[in-house]
Amino acid sequence: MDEYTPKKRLALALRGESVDRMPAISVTQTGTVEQMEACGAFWPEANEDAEKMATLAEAGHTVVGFEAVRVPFDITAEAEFFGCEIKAGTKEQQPSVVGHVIKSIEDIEKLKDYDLSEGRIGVVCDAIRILAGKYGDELPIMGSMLGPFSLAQHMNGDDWFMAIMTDEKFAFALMELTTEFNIAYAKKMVDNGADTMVIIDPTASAMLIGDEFYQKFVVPAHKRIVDTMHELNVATVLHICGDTTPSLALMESSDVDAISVDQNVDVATALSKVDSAVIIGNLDPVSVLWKKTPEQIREVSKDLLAAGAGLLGPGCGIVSKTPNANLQAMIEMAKGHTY
Amino acid sequence: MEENEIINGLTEAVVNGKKDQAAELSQKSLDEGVDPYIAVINGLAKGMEIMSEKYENKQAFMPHLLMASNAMYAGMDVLIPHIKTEGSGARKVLVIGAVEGDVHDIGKNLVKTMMSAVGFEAIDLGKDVPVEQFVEAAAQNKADVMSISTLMTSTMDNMQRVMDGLNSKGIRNNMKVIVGGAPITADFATEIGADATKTDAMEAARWAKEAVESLSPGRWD
Repeated sequence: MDEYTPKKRLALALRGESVDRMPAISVTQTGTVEQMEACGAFWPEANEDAEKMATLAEAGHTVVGFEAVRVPFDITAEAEFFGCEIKAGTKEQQPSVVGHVIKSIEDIEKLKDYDLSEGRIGVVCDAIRILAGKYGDELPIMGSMLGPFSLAQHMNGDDWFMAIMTDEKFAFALMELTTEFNIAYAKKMVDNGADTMVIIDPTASAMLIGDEFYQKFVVPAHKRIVDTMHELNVATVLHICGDTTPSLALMESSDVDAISVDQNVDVATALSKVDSAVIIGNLDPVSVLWKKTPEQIREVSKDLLAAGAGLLGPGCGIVSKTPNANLQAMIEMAKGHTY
Repeated sequence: MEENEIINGLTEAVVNGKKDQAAELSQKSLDEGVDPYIAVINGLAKGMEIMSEKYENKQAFMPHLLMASNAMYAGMDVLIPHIKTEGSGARKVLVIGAVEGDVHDIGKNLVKTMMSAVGFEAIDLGKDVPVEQFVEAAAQNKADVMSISTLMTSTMDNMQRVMDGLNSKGIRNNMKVIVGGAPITADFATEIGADATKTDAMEAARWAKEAVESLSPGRWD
């Protein structure tokens, strides 16, 4: 008798509570070409059409075997929503942000009125509703969004890195805009059926900006998002790229439930740096998950599980060319692991 | 002002990220007859090197680095036109860009900054650079070093295509090629036939400076 649904199992595991075995999920993007070919929903259309987005997300479960469904597949919808120019994606590649919209505090004012039903923000919420309608009782419905610091960088460009040092008033005003947006967007995803929220904030890496700026600008923003999610009984995961080892305690201070670490982080060391946050990771998405054999992936997974990974997963977004068999090797290792 | 004072002032202006100060002192160094090459290398570039080391040691971060870089370029804009470009003073040429499909250029810009700091003339092709453009720019500018970057796994194949392009034009061995970016490993660099990959901008610049020494002077003739 299996008393845990995948939904319940993940909800417990993310909060560090006891559970029969490890859930097999990916907190980072799941779309791959093999899945697209199997389900008929391809990038870039699956980034723009709610039905197709839901179909490709569903393939992560039905075709590959992940015990969750997750949308979206890229991290540009937020910047696009605010008018940043986007370089379109392809079947194998996610879209990218190429233009920026904010130069001054006046520009921030102009962007304060928005309608969350518009653009791909609305599409993601619609896809969540479709998935929740179909799988909501059984599977975790994971929503993901670009975090407030990285969104600010998308909107302001590389000047953002200097603004946090030279123009605090502007920097706090822009963080207020992005954080308010993140809170509203996350709530809307939850309204539509999301039960787990992933915040992806790559630019906020303390490796790039240092602890002082991280504490000043990033922690309070993340905390507000996390607090809002906790009020709604939604577990939160924070993913930041790079070697975040020295900053894990600071990342945890936002009260986030779990931290997804990239392949540059040693999992055992990471565990020693956090109090109660679950550490998720961290198979190298390129040199291991994409390029190695299922057998080798099982070996690397074994080491990560032995090191104490709370959830086994990729260290960053899954590469679109990754074979199903490789993902399935990782899934099999997660499913076989008891805590 | 003494020459030493000016040179130290230039270093300090870069370390403190003072753009205007760097430009003013650069002008002053020209007015006082300081060799502009010395002012760049012992003054501005040294400041950038100090900041790069601080970055490696986690005493400085991206904000400080970008401020320093802006200051260095402000000074170089004043000084470089006065550096003689013939003979032993000739600057080595770097062709640099983020590969086709990739629009991320923070890392690329840092590499460019450090390469400039160690004396390269940087031909910056920008981001999302078509494969052919790398090859053409290398031939046209008689490149000594080519630096190709990407942050996205989906565009790594395009690095191979640049290497193929250099090979089929017969100019691959006229230059040293370094590839970089988060997903790039040493194995990958070897696999596609690049000469190196380094984990940070300063290391890349140090490597490049040394690597060009083995290139034969007449190879582009």
